[in-house]
Amino acid sequence: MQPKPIEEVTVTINGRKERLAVDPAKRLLDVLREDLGLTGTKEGCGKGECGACTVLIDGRPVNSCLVLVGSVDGHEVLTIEGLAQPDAAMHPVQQAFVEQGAIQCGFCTPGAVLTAVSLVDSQPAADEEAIRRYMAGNLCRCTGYTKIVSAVKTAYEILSERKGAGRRKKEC
Amino acid sequence: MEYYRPTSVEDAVQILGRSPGAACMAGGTDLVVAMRSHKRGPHAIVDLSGLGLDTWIFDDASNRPAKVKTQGTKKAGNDEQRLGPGWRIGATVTMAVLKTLEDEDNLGVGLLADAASQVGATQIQNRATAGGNLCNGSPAADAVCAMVALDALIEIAGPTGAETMPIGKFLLGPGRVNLEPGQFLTGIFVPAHDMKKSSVALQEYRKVGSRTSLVIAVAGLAARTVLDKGKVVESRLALSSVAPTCIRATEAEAYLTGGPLSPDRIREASHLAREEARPITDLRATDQYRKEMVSALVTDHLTRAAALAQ
Repeated sequence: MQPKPIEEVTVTINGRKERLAVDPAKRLLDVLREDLGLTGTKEGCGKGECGACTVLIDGRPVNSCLVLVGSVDGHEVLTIEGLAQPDAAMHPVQQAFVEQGAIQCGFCTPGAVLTAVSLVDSQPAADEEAIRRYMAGNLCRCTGYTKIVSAVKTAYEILSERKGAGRRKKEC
Repeated sequence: MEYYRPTSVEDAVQILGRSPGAACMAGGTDLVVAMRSHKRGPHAIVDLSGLGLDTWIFDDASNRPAKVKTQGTKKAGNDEQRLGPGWRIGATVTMAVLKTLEDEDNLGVGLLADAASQVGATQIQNRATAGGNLCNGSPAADAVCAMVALDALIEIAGPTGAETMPIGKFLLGPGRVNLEPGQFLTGIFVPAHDMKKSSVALQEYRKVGSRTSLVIAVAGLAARTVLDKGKVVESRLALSSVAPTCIRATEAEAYLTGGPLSPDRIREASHLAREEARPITDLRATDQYRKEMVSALVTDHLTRAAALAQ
C-alpha cells in the first residue's frame, strides 16, 4: 500500500483531545491562535529567536512558530490557558510571577511562564546561572530579566513550601 | 501542500521516490524559517519524526565486522574503513538528548554534547536534531563542527539502499550536502577515540558571538587535545563559520602532534589555524575579525590544555 499524506491531526491540547481537520503544514502557533482561539500564545519574531510563542509539547518547551502541527500528531500540548483553570488556584510559577511583579508589558509572559514551568518540573533545584541559561530563549524587550529570575526562584520556594505542607498534613 | 509522516524508512524512501522536490523535515527549526521567508517552497513535506530514529546506542563493535564499506564521492569509489566502537545516533535525536551524552572516559562524544548544549536555546534544543543540523548545510552549525572534529560517519538511506559516508564528503558548501535525489540521512556514527590511562584530554566547543544563547557563531572551534607525558598525542581542531563548510585545521593538528604545548608552539599552531581559515565578510563579522577569532580560540584552548597536563 502506498503511504498517504495525512489530512487530520489528533492532538491533546490542555488536556482535551482534539481532532483537527487543518493543513498539517500549518504552524502550531497559527492553529492555536486562529483555529482554537487560544490567543495567550503570542507571536514575536516568528523565527524561533524570542520565545514569545513557547508552549510545552509533552512537557518540554518549544517555539510553536517553528512547529508544524502535523508533527505533533499524537502528542500533548500545553498552552498558558491550560496551566490553571479559571476558578482554581494559580500555578506556583504564575503566583511567583505575580508576587515578584515579573511582568511589564506582558507580551513575553505566557512563554516565559511556560519555560519556567518546565524548568521547575524537570529540575528539583536550579541556581541563578542555571535559571538564566534555561530561560535564555525567552526574550523580554522591556528587559525585565531580574524580576523574571527572582520569580523562578520564588516558584521553587512556593513548591518546596507546598511539599513541606503536604508532608506535615500527612504526618497529622 | 502534502504532508507525509511515514512510520518506516522504506515508506519514506517510497514517498521521496515519487515526490521529487519534497522536503525532508526532522525538527523543522530551519525548514519552517526557510519556508516562511520564501527561501524554500516544497510541494510536499516528509516528516521524519515517526521513523523511530530518535534513539542512540553505544555500539561496542562486537556484533559486526571490523570493516564496513564506506562510499565516498562517485569519483573516489568505495573504500574499506575500519570501524571500531562508537555511538550510533539516529537522525532525529534532538540537541536536548545529545547534550546529555556522558563521556567520563573522554572518548570524544562529550565534545558533541558540549556543542549541542550551545545550539540555540532550550526551546530550539528540544526540536533541533543531529540530522537536521547536518542537512541544513550551514558552515556555522555547532554540532556539525564537533562531528567534523570527531570524524563522524554519515548514514544514508535511499532508492539504491543504505550507504555510509565520511562527514568530510557529506558537507559540500553552504546549504549543500552530498545527498542524491530520494536519499535522506538516517543517522550518524561517532567513533570512540580511545586513549591511554596515563593521558589527559581537553575536549570542548567554544564559539564567538554577540551573546551566549540563540546566536549564530561568528567563529567556532570544536577541539580535542590529548596529551601523554607532556606531549600531544592526538589533536583535533575543527572550525565553524570560517569556511564554506566546517573544516579541520589539519596543518595545525599535524604541527601539534608529537610535541609539547609550549607557548611558542601554541602561538605557531594558532597562526597555522588562522591561515587555514577561509572566512568571508558578512553581516555578522569581517573576514579579518574571524581569522583573529580563530587564532584566539585555538590559543585559549591549547593554553588550557597545557595547564591541564601540568
